[in-house]
Amino acid sequence: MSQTSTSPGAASLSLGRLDPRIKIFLFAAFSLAVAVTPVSGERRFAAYFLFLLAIAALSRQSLARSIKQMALLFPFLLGLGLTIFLFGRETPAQKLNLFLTLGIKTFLILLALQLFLLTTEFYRLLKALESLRVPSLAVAIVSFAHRYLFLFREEVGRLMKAKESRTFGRKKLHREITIVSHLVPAIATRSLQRSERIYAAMLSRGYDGKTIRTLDVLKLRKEDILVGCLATFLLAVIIIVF
Amino acid sequence: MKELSFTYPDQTCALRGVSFSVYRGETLAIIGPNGAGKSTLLLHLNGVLRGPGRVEVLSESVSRKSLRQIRSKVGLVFHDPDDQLFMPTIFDDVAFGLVQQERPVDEILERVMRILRALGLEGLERRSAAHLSLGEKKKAALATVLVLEPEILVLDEPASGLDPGTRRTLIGLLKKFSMTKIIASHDLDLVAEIASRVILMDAGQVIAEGNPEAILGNQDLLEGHRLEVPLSVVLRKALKNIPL
Repeated sequence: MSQTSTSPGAASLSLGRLDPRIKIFLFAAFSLAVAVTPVSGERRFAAYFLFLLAIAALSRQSLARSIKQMALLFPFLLGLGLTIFLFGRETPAQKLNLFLTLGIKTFLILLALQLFLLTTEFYRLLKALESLRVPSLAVAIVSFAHRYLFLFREEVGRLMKAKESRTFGRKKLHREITIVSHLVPAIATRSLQRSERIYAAMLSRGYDGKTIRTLDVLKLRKEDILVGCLATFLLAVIIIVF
Repeated sequence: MKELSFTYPDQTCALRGVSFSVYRGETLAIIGPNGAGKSTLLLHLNGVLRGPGRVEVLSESVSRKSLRQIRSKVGLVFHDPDDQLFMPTIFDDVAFGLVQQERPVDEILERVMRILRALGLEGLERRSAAHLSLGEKKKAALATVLVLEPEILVLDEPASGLDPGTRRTLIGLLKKFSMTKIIASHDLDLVAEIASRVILMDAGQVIAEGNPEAILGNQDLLEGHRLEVPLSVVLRKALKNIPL
């Protein structure tokens, strides 16, 4: 029980203390800068990568580990590559160039997103979304999804164990599919029942069925504004110089 | 509560004409086998469920109009703390009711921290309930209603699933609270220790009502309703019979 959120050790990081609204702004600015970089901007892409490397070093995050975690996304990138090569009228060289550029852009933006999430406690992220006037229903959905994902996983795990404990002999694919198709409604029913109990718990503590209000705990400090300005300036320098 | 009945949409009849009174400051235990209607009954106490019949809380009838006021007076702690702890952090969960009441920020901060300290949960305020032990979750769920300073505390199976040490801590805490308490439980030893009156329910009806000695010592009555005399009562009787 050493973790406080899904962001391991987020509170202890130097960038973890930065106001999440500033981080959201910086992430959006970085993503936009990367997205509008032309195909021929290899040097600028390298500068963006160095920029992320510096952030990772400042926040004591291992960029190598983040890249490893992103390996899951490579099949999607390959899918993107296939689409580019199968469609369009460009020459093969142009298609390859386009694929590499899109791949690099996706990689940089996702890496930035991962750094942002790793250095931000989840509840602070939600508060930031609330204070940036994101509809409370959307914030509530994200919040509930995060809160109950663990329980959902546990419930699925329990059902799968129960299934395993009563499965004898060799597994056959069609039988497995039949069993799983029976488990899905059971999981859905349990989820529905839990949602009803949660709603009852909310009502019993004064929820009026409209907006889920929470206490605003974010305070924008001078240091946050300073770091935000400095990072924006650095991004601008990268865009102008490279 | 007078002639209260309730049927779920799937036609399961959970309550059949239940009537009883609760007196200020007492600890009323509601016992009964699975499916007796205990949890359904508790949900009527602050208007989460409403069925035909009359429920009056602190001289006020439970109705759509009075819900807000009644819910601020009746604190309901659910059986499964994961149902009660739905916010991203323990702090937000404990503050939830006060924020809904639109209390001043300073007051919310002070009351939340005070209750967390009192229940030994200080330092966990930024954690997600997903990372707490069952004992911590149960205490946090209790904190979410105690912070509202309810006049009536309603608990559904407060000690189920707890290890003996945490159960003992919880019993100690419950004994300390001076407000009116209504506890639904299968843990008859806990009931014997803290209840001042006991109601036995089965099949949605009140079967018997009386002081803990009379109800919990009645073997035929309990066994007739899929319960058994708690060990603490058996031991007490046995010790009385041993000549000194």
